[in-house]
Amino acid sequence: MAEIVVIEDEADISMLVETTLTFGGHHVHIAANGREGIELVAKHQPELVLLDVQMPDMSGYDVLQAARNDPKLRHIPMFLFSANSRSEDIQRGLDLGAAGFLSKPFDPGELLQQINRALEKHAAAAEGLTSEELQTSEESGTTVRTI
Amino acid sequence: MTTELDSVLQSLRSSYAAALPEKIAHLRELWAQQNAEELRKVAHKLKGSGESYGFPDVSSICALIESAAELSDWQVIALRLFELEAIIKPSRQL
Repeated sequence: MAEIVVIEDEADISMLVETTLTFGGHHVHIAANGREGIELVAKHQPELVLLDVQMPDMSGYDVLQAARNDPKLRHIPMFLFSANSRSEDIQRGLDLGAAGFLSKPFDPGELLQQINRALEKHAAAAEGLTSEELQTSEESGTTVRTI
Repeated sequence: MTTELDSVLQSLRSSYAAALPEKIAHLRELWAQQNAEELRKVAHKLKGSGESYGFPDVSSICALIESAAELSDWQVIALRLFELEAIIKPSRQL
């Protein structure tokens, strides 16, 4: 189980994601805009953030930038979540420090698997596993690839 | 796990299906007002949610509406709205 913050202004999407991740055993916090999202991330220090790109007032890129400038938040992996999956959109997010990019529309079961793999990967990195250990672990089928 | 998850999501999918006619009607209103920017935003959201809830045609048609709205191509948007309204009718029976 992990703490996950979802920053998403579209209620249909946040409900679907919340239900899916909760089914997967995770504890999910939902923010409907960027400012609320940053507050939730600072408060809960989640293991992962799922971040919509196109939001009014403060875009996902703005949130990413604000988090990367905050020493208390910059270590938290943030995955952009968008229906715009053009390579320039993905690259912009990665340049701003996103840990990865997840596309909408999505299959809920696949989303859960992707999130679980990302959590395993970041947990392994946090425990300081060497790349050799990660490789061994991958060979045994227990860890993840980059999303 | 997928079957169990599908079962958990069934009520959400039904609610989404029930709300689709209203969302499509909103797109139609925006088309009538020729409000390209708002129409693009709403189509973008439906593009992201439609297939996620099991309605791939909603996503694909709304992707076309989103692109057409960027160009303010009202004729193409009108055609795509007819397609969207046609595929939504059966979903009311879900």
